[in-house]
Amino acid sequence: MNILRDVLKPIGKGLRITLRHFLEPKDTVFYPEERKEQFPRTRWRHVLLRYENGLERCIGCSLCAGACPVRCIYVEAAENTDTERYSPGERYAKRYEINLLRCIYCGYCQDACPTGAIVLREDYELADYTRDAFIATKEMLLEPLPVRDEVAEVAR
Amino acid sequence: MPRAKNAQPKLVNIEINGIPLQVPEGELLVEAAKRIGEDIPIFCYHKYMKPVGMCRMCLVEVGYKQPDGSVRKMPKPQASCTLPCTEGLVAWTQSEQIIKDRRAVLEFLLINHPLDCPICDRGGECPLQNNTQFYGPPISRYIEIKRHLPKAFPLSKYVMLDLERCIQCGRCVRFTEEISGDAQLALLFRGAQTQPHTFQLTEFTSRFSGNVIEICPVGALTSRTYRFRARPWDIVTQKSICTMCSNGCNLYFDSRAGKVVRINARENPEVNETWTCDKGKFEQVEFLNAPNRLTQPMRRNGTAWEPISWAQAYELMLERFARARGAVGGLAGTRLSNEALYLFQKLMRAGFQSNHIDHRMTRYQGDLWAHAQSLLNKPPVANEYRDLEATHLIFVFGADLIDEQPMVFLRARKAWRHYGVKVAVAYPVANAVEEFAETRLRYRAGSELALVKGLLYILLDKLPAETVAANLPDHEWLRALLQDCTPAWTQDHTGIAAEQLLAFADTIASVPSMLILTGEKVWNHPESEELVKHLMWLTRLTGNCHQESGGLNLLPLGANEQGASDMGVLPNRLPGYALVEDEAARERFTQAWGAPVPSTPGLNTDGILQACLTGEIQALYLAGANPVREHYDPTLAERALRACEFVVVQDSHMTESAEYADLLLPACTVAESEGTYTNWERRVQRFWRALEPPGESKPDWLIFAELWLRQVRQTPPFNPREVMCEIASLVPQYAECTYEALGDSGKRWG
Ligand code: SF4
Ligand code: SF4
Ligand code: SF4
Ligand code: FES
Repeated sequence: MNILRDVLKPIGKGLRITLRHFLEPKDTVFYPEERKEQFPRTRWRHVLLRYENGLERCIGCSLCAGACPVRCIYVEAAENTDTERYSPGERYAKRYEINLLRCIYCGYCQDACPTGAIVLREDYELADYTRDAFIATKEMLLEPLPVRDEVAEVAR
Repeated sequence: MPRAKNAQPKLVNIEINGIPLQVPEGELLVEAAKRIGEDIPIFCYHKYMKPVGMCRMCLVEVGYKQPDGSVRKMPKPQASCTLPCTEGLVAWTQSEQIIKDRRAVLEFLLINHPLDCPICDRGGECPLQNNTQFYGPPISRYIEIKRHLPKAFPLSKYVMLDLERCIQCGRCVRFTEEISGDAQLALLFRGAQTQPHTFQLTEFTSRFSGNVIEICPVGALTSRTYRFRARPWDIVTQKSICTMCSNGCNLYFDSRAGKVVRINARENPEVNETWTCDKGKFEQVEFLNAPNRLTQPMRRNGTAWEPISWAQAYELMLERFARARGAVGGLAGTRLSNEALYLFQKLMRAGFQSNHIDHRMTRYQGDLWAHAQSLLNKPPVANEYRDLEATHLIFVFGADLIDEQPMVFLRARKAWRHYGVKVAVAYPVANAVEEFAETRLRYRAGSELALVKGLLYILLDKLPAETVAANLPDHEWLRALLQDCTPAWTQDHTGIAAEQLLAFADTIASVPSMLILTGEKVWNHPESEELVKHLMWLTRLTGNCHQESGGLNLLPLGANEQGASDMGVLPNRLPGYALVEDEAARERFTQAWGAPVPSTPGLNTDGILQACLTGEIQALYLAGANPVREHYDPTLAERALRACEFVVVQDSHMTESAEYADLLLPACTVAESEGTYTNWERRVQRFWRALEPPGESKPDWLIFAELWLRQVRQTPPFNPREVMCEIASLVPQYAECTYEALGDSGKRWG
C-alpha cells in the first residue's frame, strides 16, 4: 500500500474541503444577539392595526373567526358610544383573542378582514412557558398608539 | 266562512321549467315552484302573510296553454308571489330574461344600501346578501352619493331600526296590520323617501314586536338584546320549546360560549306557524341568563348557605323524609318536562308513599278531569289550534288572551280575519281581543259566575225546546237552579246591559258551533268550581260538546301544566288520569314500579300548604315550584313554608320560595336538558339540550332518578328517552309518544 497515495492524499483532499467551507461566508446567526431579516411576506404573529388617527381598524365583525380553518379566533363585539370610541362606526371588538398554539399561520384571517385590521407580521419569537401565555389577547395584539408628532418631537 | 276542516282542494295541471306537476288550485306560483325544488328568490313575500308584489324580486316568465296545445306567453314577466296557479299555467324561472331582470332588481335595491354587512347583525343570514350572491351583479355602477338616513334608531326596548338598510318590502308593516293587528308600523313618506316607522315616532309597543326582526329580509330591523352579541357562524342552534306559556311554540335556541344569546321561531304550521311572542323571544333569554343561577347543592346553616356535595344532599334529604314517615308533600313546577314530572310523582308515590302532590297554584284545585268527562265526555280542553279557524264563534271568557295565550290570540285573530269567524270577549277591563270582537262584555270584576248564569237562563228559553231536551235531558233542575237569574238580575250583578246580553245569547243560539276559551279569571274565581261547572253546562246546553270544531277549552296557564296533569301530578290521579282508589290501576303501576302505591287520595296544593301550617306535613319537596310567587295566596304559601320543618327546593334559579328552603338542589333550565312538553292542545313536543349544565346542576329528571335509586334501590332510568318509553308503556294516552314517533313537530293525543 502506498501511504502517500492511499492515506495522506485523501486526508489532504478532505481537509481542503473543510478549509474551503471555513473560508466561505457563514450562515450561522448569533441568535439572540443577531436576528435574521425576514422576507417581507413572512406570516408570523398577528398584529391588530390602527388608523393614523389612533382608532382601531378592527370593527369586531368576526369574519376572521369565520374564515379561520382551525377556529382559533374569538371575537366579542360591543357598541361604540360618543364618549367611548374605539373604532370608526358603530361596532368595535371588546374582546379579541387568538389561540396561537392552534393557529396554523395560514393568513386566511388577514384575507377575510374587511378593514385590513388583522395582519400577520414577522415576529416569529413565539415560545413561552405556559399554554395560557399563547392566548394572545387584544391588548397583546394591538399596535401601540401612534405617538403624535409634537410629542415625538419633544421626546427627541 | 269558517275553514272546512280537512277539506280536499281541487288540483290543476301546471308546468314549471318544463316539469309538469299538479298543485291545488289557487296556490301561489312561488309556493308551487318549491314542490320541484325551485326556490324563486323573494323579499316581500311571506308564507303566512298576504302577497303584495312590492319588491319584484320574484319575477318569472309565464304563459298559458291554449286549447290547441300551443303556449301563449305573457308579454312581460310576472311576480310569481301574486300569481295563483290555474289550469294550463306554464312558467319559466331560469330564462335569460329572468336572470337579467333579477340582476337589475338587485342592482336597483342596492343603489342606496349602505353595504355595511360586516357590522350588520343580519350579515351571514341575510336574504339580501344571499340573493345578491346568487343572482345579483358583482359590482355596482352607481357612483353617486348614497342616501343617508338615521342608523340604529331604537324603536322599542327590543327592536332597533336602521333605515339605510331598509328595502321597503313592507313585511314589517304588513305584519303589524295583518298578524298582530296593532298596526303600529306604517310606511311613511313616498318614493325614494319611503320608510317604515311608527306613527309620530312613538314607541313600538307590540307584544309580538320580535317577529318583525325575523321577517325583515335585511338588517333594517334588528334585535337590541342580540345586538353585536354574535355572528351566525359563532352560534350553535338547537331546537327547543318555549316555557313561558302553555302555547308550546317551537323555537330555536341560539347559543354562544355557553349562553343562549337569541331565540328564534321554529316553523310548525300546526302550532305557532312562524311566530313567537316577545315573552318567549326576549324575556325567556333574560330568564335563562338570569344571574341568580343555582349551581351547587346547599344546605341551610343558620342564616347562611353551606355548599355540600350531591351525595350529602341526597343523604340529608332522604334521612329527613324518612323521619317524616309519609307526612311529606310535593309541589311540582309547570316548567318541568313530562319525564321529570312522571319521575317526580313516581318518587313521591312509590318512593315516599305519599299522594300529597300537586302542581296547581290557582284557586281551582278540583277534579277537573272527572267533571269534564262526566258532563262533556271530553277532556277539559276540547280543541286544537286548527279548530279556531273551523268554528263559527270564538268566545273568550275571563282571559287576557294576548298575555296568557299569545299564539291562541294570533290564531283567533287570523280566524276572524281570514275566515270570518265571529269573536266575542268577556273581560272586566280592556282586552286586546276587543279590537276585532263583535261582542264585548265588560263585566264587573268577579262577576263571572253571574254572567254565565245569566247566559244560561236566557239560552234555556231561547234555544228551541227540542235542542234543550236533546242536549240536557234533565234540564228542569237547571231551570230551578237558575230561576232568579233573569237578565235584569244579571245586569244588576255584572253591569252588562240586559239587551246586550240578550243579543249575545241570540248570537250563540244562531251559530252552529262555539268555541269557548277561558283564562286566569276562571281559574282564580272565588267559586271557581261552580263557575267551571256552569261553563260545562253552557257548552252542553248549546250542543258544543258534540261539535268537532267547538267546545269548552279551560286553557292551562303554565308551560307544561297539561303535562303535569297527564303525568299524574295530582293528588287523586295516577299518570293517564287513573284514580288512585282504582285497585286495578294501582296494581298495574305497582307492578311496573316495583313498589306499592298508596290508595288514599292526597291533599291538593291548598291542602298541602294548610297541612304544613298544622304540622301534618313535615317535609315538603318543591320541585321547580315557587308558591310564594305563583300561588294565588302568597301569604299562605309564605307562612306554610316558614312553618314546615324541612323544605327542599329544587330549581334552576334562586326563587322567592327558595329563601325558605332548608336544602337547595340546583336543577337545569329547559336549555340544558332534554325532554318533552305537552301544550294546551295536548300536543306532546320534544325539546333538545342546547347547553351544558352550569356548575354542579343536574337536569330535574336525573335528580329524581338518583333519589329513586337511593330510596327504592332499583335501577333508575338512564336518559329521558328511556323514561318516555316507560311512560308510553304505562299511560295509554302517551302510547305513541316515544321520541322516535314524536319527531320534530310533536304529536297530539286524544
Ligand atoms: S392565520 Fe389562519 S389559523 Fe391562524 S388565526 Fe388566522 S385564519 Fe386562523
Ligand atoms: S324594515 Fe325590513 S321588513 Fe320593514 S320594510 Fe324595511 S326591509 Fe322590509
Ligand atoms: S306564545 Fe307562549 S309559547 Fe309562544 S313564544 Fe310566547 S310565551 Fe312562548
Ligand atoms: S316577493 Fe314577489 S314581489 Fe316581492
